[in-house]
Amino acid sequence: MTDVVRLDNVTKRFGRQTALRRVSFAVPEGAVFALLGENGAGKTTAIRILLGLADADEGKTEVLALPSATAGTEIRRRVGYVPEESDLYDWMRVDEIGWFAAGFYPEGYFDRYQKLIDAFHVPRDRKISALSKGMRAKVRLAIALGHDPELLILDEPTSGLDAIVRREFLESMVDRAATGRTVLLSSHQIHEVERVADHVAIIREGELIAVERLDAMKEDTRRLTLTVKDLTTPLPEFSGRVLRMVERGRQVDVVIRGMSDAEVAVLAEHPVVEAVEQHPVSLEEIFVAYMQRNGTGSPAGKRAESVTAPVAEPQGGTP
Amino acid sequence: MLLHVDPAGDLPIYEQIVRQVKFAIAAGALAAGDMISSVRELAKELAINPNTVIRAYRQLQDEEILQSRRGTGLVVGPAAPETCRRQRIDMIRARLGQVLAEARQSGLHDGHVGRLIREQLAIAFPDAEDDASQTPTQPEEISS
Amino acid sequence: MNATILRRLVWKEYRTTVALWLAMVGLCFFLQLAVVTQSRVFLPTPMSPEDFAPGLYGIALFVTALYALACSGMQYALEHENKTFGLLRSLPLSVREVAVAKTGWAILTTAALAPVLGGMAFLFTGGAGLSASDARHASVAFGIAVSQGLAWGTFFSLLSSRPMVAILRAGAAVTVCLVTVSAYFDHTRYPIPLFLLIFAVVAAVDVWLALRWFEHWKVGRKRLQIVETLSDGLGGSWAMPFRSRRGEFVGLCLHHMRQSSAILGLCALIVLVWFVGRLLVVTEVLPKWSEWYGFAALSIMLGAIVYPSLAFHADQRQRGYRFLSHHGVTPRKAWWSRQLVWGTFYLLLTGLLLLSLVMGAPLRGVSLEEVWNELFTRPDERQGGFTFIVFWVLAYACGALVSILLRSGILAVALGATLTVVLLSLCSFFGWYIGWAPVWLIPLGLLVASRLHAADWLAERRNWRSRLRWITPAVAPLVFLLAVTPYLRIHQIPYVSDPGFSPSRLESQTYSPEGVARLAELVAIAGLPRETIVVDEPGDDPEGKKTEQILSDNAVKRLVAFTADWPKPSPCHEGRWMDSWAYLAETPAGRLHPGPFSLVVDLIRSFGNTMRHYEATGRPREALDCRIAISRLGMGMGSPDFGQNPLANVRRSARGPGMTPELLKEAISRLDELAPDRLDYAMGLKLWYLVTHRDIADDDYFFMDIGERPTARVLLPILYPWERTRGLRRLRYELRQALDRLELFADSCADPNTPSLDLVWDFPPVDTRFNDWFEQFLLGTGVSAPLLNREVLAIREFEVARRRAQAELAVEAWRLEHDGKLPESLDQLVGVYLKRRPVNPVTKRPFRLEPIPAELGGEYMITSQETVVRSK
Repeated sequence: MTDVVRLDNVTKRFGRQTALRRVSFAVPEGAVFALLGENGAGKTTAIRILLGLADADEGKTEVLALPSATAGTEIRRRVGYVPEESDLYDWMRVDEIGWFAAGFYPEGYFDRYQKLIDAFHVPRDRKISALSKGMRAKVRLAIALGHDPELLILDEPTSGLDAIVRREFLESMVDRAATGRTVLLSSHQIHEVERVADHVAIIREGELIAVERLDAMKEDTRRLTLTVKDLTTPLPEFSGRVLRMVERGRQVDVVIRGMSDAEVAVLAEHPVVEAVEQHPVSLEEIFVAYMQRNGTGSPAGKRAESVTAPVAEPQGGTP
Repeated sequence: MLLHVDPAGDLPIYEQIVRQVKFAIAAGALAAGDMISSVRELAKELAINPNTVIRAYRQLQDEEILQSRRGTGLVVGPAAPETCRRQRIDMIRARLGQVLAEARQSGLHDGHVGRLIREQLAIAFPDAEDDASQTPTQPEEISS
Repeated sequence: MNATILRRLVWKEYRTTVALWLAMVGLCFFLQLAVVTQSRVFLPTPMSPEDFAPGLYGIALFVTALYALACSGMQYALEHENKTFGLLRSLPLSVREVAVAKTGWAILTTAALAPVLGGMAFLFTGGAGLSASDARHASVAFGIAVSQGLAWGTFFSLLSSRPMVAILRAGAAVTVCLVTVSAYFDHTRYPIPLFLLIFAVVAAVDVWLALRWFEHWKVGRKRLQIVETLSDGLGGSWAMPFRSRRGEFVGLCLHHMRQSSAILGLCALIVLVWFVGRLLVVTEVLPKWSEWYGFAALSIMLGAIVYPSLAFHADQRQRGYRFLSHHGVTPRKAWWSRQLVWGTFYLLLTGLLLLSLVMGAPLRGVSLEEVWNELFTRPDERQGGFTFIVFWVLAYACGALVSILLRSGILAVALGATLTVVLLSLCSFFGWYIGWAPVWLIPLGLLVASRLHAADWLAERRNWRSRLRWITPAVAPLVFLLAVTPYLRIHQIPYVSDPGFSPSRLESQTYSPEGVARLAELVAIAGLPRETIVVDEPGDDPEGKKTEQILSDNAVKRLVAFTADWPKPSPCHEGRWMDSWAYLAETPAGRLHPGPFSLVVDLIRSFGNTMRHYEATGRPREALDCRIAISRLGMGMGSPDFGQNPLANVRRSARGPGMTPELLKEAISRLDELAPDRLDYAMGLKLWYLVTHRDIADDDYFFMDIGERPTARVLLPILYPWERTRGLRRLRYELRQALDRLELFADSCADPNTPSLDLVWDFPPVDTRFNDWFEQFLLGTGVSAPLLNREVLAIREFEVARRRAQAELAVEAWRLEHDGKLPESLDQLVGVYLKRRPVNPVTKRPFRLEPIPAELGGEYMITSQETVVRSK
């Protein structure tokens, strides 16, 4: 399978701020790839660089085997893009804006656009200024899908929309993935990402701190609640990578990666450990754990520093 | 087929699908030879990644609960209802075992546990006769 | 470059700019209409199309340049303000395609606008073009203005995210460019190369920026932050909202200043540049300006209209007013805070502008008092000062209303300008006809409408009730003034009781048989065949001979008999006199001659020829009879001119074979019968009144004379009923005045020693305002009413001539009895030939005899050494 999108050591600076720092990942064909990160982490910048809307200071990017720096327009012709901050022309009608966009894409755009609009139950002859927020978002999606692109890029598509519209977006994304097309999604809605994504990349302050398959990530991560017998004995070494550790009295809550069941059993037999409970871990908890990795919440001086901030090891996204 | 998934639940989504399909077959909602929703349909209906559905279906195919029929898609295999019923009993057994282990861990006495079991049994099967006096008449059924 | 893509992009540009294009056409139309109306209707002497054609073409070019500026200034920046930039970026477009579509469309629509506006000017002037040199100047000016507008507009649009600010900045740049460049060149050489250089540089920068518009506009934006910081300083980022209740209002004002700081700063900049430039010119630091002075002045005037239309722009942008309503700001505070800030600035800027216009005066030796008089108190001028002030106030009021109604700042400016121009014309109309005080109702109404709409604006109510709330105070003053104008005009003259004559009374009468019989005789005489004689005078005939018509002896006899007892108390005396003349006008002979008098005039002309023929052929007796008969005929038909003419040089008929002193004495006594105390002098006036009064009733005649003034034709039917009534009342008033004066005069002639005579000499001229009113509306009485006064004067002149003629006859009689010697003074004639010492009835000086020395002819003069006052 080929990579639809490749970023290689991309760095982007805005004045003194570094928006992206040596970011590399690849999106395989047919995947639903999610970019997670806080506001201002660099997700939108990465997407813009991919589409040739901005230039990377270092590194190179490729979309559909075309270099972004030189073939931006061609890329945008073959890719569907729903940008984060894009208002539509208020004075146009729904069908007019479809006709307008149809001029930039190959034949068949307008018919597909109309079908999508009808499927979304958006009235064709209404002015965009008279549409609700959800309908406008659907129009934006229809514009991006009119030419049946191999890659659909969505930047915060459902922020501020109601549950029903969000559901419709998810269904669209899923539908495209089911037909073998690729979706690159940048979102805050972690619950949605959890449902539909099969690859996840977490960006924090311009750095890529995790990129892997979602199911592998979830299978590899556990949340354990340890009950310890006393507060003075140091904790055992964890055989795995601790993402986050929180202590409350005699209970230690830890999100940890790379620990096998056997190792958990071993941990349970440790003298200082009274009980071990295992909880399912959602993507949100993983994400929060990654974001908060520098702080540990341990009471000062009570524990030896067996808890260190592990270094990010981005893993390849190959299936 | 009506399914429900919880992405943040303790089981992976594909597991949940597998289990629910099996339960549905075991309960008779799906009979042998019935067609199930395509990958695309199910993914869209549940708003989940198609690969997850593919994985679930693949597992079901490996267990021969689903069979691929050319031209029509996936159908429930002939041995599936039997298999599923059995697996369901296995699942229930496993869960009962877990519950009992937990009870033991919390320090309950086995007599106490037995009382709890009989109490819950009476609530769950209100029409049955007194279980304690009954001897299992069909040991094969229980142990299969 | 793909045709499909370009088609889409051009379609989008078309939809975005079509409203502005149409608004510019409308604005130009109303500006040109205003100029035409002012030139043709409101000036004392209407201008010919050739004179105001340059103004109209100038307006067409100016509006085109304005459009170029506005269109190019808005195009790129609008994408940012509406946040559609993101959508545009997400499409597979190259920036080259976008730039070609946008800038190409701006150029194309500008090129399309020019012929439309020029065509309008062409139609308004009725086909008059420009002279060759004017056309050359115009095309150069057009090229420069449009190219500068496009270049600077695009420049600022590419760097800005606010179209309004971009347009204003571009306007400031163009003004500064034009003003500074033209300050250094006189008008004989256009600094074309310099302008071309500026254009080339800016256009090159535009191309460079446009190709980078998709990526780097933010970078360019940073570079302009100096300007923004300066303009921010106006608002004062130090102004934090206060907490006290009163402080809330102050906080609102300061907030608004900060919000609109860009626009306020730019307008202040433009006015400052103008002011400094003017100061430099007035103090003659800089050489004289070129024609750009006019362009710059027009820009400033338009700026005065543009600025108020932006009062609420900062709040309308992206629905900023929601901020006010969400924070519980009442409509009252919102409206007043905005008006306070904008109004104060407006006053400051207006004051600066007025100062700049006026400050040239003291430096040139003209006192400010003279300037004030020039502007405000000269009664015969159109009071330019008032028009100016009304313009400023009206512009502000129009802007205040338009900007709270429209969300688009650019459309608000265009419509505000148009509304100001239209309303200004109406205000001038009202100001001229009913005075300037009521005109203030119009801007007041607009401001009230704006204030009333504030509540609906904040609450976003848009039903018919909210519309009614602002439409009513805006339109009510206009309707009120239109309704009140005729009423006020009618009451501008004092009501006077009917002097007793009216056409209705006339029409109900039948013609009196005596009158008919008398005039039948006159018509018969006029129909008698005439003889043609050759007179020894150069004429049209190439052989140098002139022919005249004279009456036959029979006709003369009958005419002399006809006038023997005329004029005397006639059938007209009881008010039935006009019917005779009406009858005359309708006879076949009368119809051949336009007007009832021409028949008689023609007759008199031939009569006069006959008289001269008698004198030339040595028949003084008949000649004298003719003279007196003609005089009586003229007086009888109510024309003192015709009565007076035969009395000049009466001595010619007093000499010759067969003339005796007795005949002359008889002639003198016959002339006595024409003394004013014996004649029904009022008859003349009455005659004129009714003749013309009949014509007033006739609409064709009414409209005939105003054919040259199309705008009057439009206005008149609306106000015709009241103007007609007013005209008639005025006429009656004048008539009453004239009759009174005449009666006084007649009385004074009867008794020269009446002390009240001094008053009689002082015949005031007819009120000039009346004349002006007359000039404008040209009622059918346009000929007659001034002649009422002239009539009185003519009667005075006749009396003077009559007395002089009597004195002359007496002198000739003396000469006949004293061997041709002249008497030493006229006193010697009193008692013998004259009953009284001849005195000039107007100056009250006695006539005296002035012999003329032999070298100069050897005749004599009878004079009272007074200059006869001749009416105009």
